[in-house]
Amino acid sequence: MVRELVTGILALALAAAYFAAAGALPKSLLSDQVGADGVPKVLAVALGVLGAVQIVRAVARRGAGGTADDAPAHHLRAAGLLLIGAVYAGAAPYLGYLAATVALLLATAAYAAGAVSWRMAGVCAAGGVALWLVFAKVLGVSMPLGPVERLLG
Amino acid sequence: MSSLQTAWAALSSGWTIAAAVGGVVWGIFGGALPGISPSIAMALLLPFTYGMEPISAIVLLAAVYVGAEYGGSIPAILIRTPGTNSAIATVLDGFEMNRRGRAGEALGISLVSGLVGGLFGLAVLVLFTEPLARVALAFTPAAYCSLGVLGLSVVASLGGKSLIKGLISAILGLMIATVGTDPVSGVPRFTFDYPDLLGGIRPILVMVGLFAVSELMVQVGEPPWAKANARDTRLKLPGWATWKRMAVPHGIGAVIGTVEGVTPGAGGTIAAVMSYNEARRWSKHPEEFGKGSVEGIAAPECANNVVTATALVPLLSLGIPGSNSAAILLGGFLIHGMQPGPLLFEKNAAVVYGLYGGLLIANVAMLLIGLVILTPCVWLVNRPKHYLIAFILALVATGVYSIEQSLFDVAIALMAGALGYAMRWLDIPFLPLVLGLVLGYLVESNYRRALVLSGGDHATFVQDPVSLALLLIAVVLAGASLIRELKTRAKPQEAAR
Repeated sequence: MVRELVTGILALALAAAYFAAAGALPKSLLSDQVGADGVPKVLAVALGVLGAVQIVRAVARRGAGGTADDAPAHHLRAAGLLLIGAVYAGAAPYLGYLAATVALLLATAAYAAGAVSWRMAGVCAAGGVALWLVFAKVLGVSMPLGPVERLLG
Repeated sequence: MSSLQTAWAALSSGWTIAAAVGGVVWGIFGGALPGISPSIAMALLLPFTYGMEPISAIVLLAAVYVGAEYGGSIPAILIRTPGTNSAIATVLDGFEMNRRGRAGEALGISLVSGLVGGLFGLAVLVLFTEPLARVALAFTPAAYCSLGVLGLSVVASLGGKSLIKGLISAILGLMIATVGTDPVSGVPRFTFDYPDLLGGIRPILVMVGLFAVSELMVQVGEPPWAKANARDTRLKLPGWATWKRMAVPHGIGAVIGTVEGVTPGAGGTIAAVMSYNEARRWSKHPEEFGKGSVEGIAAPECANNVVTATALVPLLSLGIPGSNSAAILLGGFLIHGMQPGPLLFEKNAAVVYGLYGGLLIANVAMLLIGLVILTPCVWLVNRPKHYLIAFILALVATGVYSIEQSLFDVAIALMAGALGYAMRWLDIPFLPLVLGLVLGYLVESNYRRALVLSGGDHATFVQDPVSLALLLIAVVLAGASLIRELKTRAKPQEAAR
């Protein structure tokens, strides 16, 4: 029931925000009669209607039982992985691809395993070097440069 | 050049053969890892197809799909865990055979059944796709817009348990498609002053995030999967007596796989489960099912491999992907500036016929590779799961970055991953979103073009007979889906009373 209700509320909220953002789009003299905001507004209204129907259905079925909710810990672990990825995206321009990738591998492996070891550090360092050799050296992709890459020339 | 010559050229091209073989190997490895579905295995490779020739890129992705369906049966048989959703029926008898010391035989049945299914599906694909595309060539802008609406309603109706959630997903996809510069007026829409968003959000980033990143987010909270026994890794091809027993289940798998494959939203899992049930119903030895039956492996494995080809019929002819894997393949077409649909045969016939040739190579290669790849597959399945999660995340980040050398793209893929995780939790299907995303431009541009041609009269959508027919089908399907859903929900409540 909770998920059904959350789906409806989120859809309704997104529809309202999207409609407001569509209404704020600048007008252009080049526009056709539909306009840049025409289709987005139709989509926002459709999503709003679906969200409202979903809420009504969820409330109407509140006595029908439903599945137990997942433990919040599961969501937190998932969010943690996302955070590691976000830190990687932010740090790669400063650390360079090689160091950032080794750090990403080690942080993710340690996070998923719940422990860190010298063996894990070795595997992740070797993996990072292998990825760097394949992408930066063999395939010639222009990867973010950092202190390690500059040292290696 | 005739279509046969083009297909033959693809068959004899070194790059196409390499792409088909490489795709099958990658697909088998990906399918063998529980949690990595064919669509995720394809999504991981998608960024790397940017620099490839179009034919090689499309063949590579399609071959991954072929390989992954066989790969999924390996952990299903060895560790009672289906590597892919469609291998769920294979667990029942495959693992029982393994328990009785016949794992090699079960793997051999799975492999040859996949080959039979793949080749049959390819024949259906070749025979039916082009005629269907020729019918669709007569479409006006209004009909094209209605076709997009029909595609969205079909997938939203059939793809999940709830019609409303399917439609919400489709609208989310259409909304993401509106980000970027308006194609008519040039006005930036929903770009929030980020220049990187002016060109819109590339479908590939959303697909990689939705399928791959969200799966990693789920897996990081799941316990490790079981270890496979390395002693059971000698594959045994079936003898003549087994072939005779497989004939009827192969026929059942072929028919059901064809019907389910061309139906958008159905897919290989439903085909495999239905084939298993029908094979048991028609079997002379139904009592053997669940205890290591040959038919119990042959029927579902044949069916899910038929689907790898027949799911491409609506994609190539109408531009509507019927499954997640077909949607990723659509992403591969879009990367190379090709729009699947009626005009594909006019503009990019060589790629289509090359794909046919590539699929033939991939299916034959699957048989040869399947004989030797089992040992490395078992080694991979037995690696600690935390290393697999780490390396797949690094591969995703690197692949997405490599497309445009943009870390902004990596951030978009991560955000799509968060969206995908939320959608999984809320039980909202992915496929309608992907379809809305890739059809968004087609629907909006043809809607606006039709209105310009009609002087702003919306009646054009019902005055055009083809458009009217497509819209009516969309309404009927959505209505039927709603009635089915209401009936399904009413049953448990009646039972509870």
